[in-house]
Amino acid sequence: MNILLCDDDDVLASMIQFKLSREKFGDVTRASDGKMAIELLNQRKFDLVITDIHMPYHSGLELVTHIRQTLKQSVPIIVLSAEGLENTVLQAFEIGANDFITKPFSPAELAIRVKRLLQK
Amino acid sequence: MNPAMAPWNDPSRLETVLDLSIIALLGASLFIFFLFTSRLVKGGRVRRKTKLRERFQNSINVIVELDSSHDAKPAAYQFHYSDLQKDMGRSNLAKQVMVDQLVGLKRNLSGSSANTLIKVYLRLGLDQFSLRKLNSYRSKRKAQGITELSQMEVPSATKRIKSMLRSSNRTVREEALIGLVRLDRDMSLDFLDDYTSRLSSWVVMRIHRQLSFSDKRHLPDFSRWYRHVNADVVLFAIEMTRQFRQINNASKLAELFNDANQRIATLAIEVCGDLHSVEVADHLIQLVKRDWSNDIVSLSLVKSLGKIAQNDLHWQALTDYINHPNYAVKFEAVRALYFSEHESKYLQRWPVPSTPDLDAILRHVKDPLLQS
Repeated sequence: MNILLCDDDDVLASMIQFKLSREKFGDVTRASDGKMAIELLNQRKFDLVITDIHMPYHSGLELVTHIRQTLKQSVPIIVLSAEGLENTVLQAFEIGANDFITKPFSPAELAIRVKRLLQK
Repeated sequence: MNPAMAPWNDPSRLETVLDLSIIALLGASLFIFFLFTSRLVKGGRVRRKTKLRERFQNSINVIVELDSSHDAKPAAYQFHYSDLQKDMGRSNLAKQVMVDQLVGLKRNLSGSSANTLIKVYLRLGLDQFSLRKLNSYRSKRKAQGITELSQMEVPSATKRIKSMLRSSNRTVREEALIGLVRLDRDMSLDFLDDYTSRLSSWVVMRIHRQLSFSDKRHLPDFSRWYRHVNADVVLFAIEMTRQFRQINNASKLAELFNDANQRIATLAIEVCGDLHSVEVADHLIQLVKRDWSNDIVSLSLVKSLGKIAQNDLHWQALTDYINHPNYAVKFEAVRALYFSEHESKYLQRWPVPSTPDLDAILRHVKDPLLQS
């Protein structure tokens, strides 16, 4: 399994990467900004994408739109955000995200949601 | 100019010019040297911080993962604590990097992982490191210490932080306020009882954000502060009543309609409208004539009435506002009537000659760009 993790917070991304590796979900590739994420997505396929909303160059929501509309991929997408406003959540789902987790979050909960989406 | 007077013909003046030029050149060289060395030092510091961060991160990841999983034996990860202690040493730079990492993670994580981060912070003695900052004469450092201690939920720091509510420095005062909200486990917000300083909109927003993370059932009844001597605290309490929809406070808000402070009175009126507190509509009607000449209060009144009008008396009062001298007030009255079920009864039968601009206002009301 290949998971793409898009977050510009190095420390948090490192922790998530560690957690997912420990859960043996597969390889976790990290993108520290939207531009890098899009380049990676254009080069290869991933089994799951986890993305923060606020990132340099392209936001997480732009990334979701790119995956669904440009690449036309149905890869499961989890959106992570400190912003839990109703409008943001609804927008994420409307453009094709499969799940939305508000920060602060529990890594254990993230792992369960990843497992559930990968099993589907 | 007389060639004989030119500086290059006068040896003593030439010498002075040369001396000044040498001094200027030396000064510029020193400045460039200073810039270059400070960049080198800064670059070295940044590289050192990055290395430290990478070294710490692995141990933190292991400790958080294994400690919060509950099925790992402590011995499996205890040596990581020693590693962290050794890597940190006595270096304040290393301690600060560690604290920044822990605080940064704590902001993003919840549950047992967050609790483990607090354990790491305390076990490495970093609470003492943060506490020492509260003694600093530099307000930025003090504020940093307050943020660290409150983010890492060190309850023993509460008293020290509370004493900083009286600081002459605004940044320290505001950080102390936010810090106390974070540390306030039972959400009583008792520290507001004696608070006499300003509460800026920025701080109110931050407090609101902090309170939003907590269980809403445990929030205090904000009407407790409606009669506070500090007008900013009263305004804060009214605003929080709106944000957290404490609709049971409508009658207490109505008592503020006659407050001597216009900001308090208008906010109370607005909030009653936003909370759809129909029980105060009659109170609002009594203010219509009294505050007719006050455009600010009239605007709040007409907006609220538009949301909570229930009977003919209320709708008639709204209709009266169509004759108000202030355009914004007229506009709100017309808008409320236009979008209500009473449009045909009041608006369509309104005698136009008494309000020649009624057509223009209606066009404005119907403009889709203005509809929220």
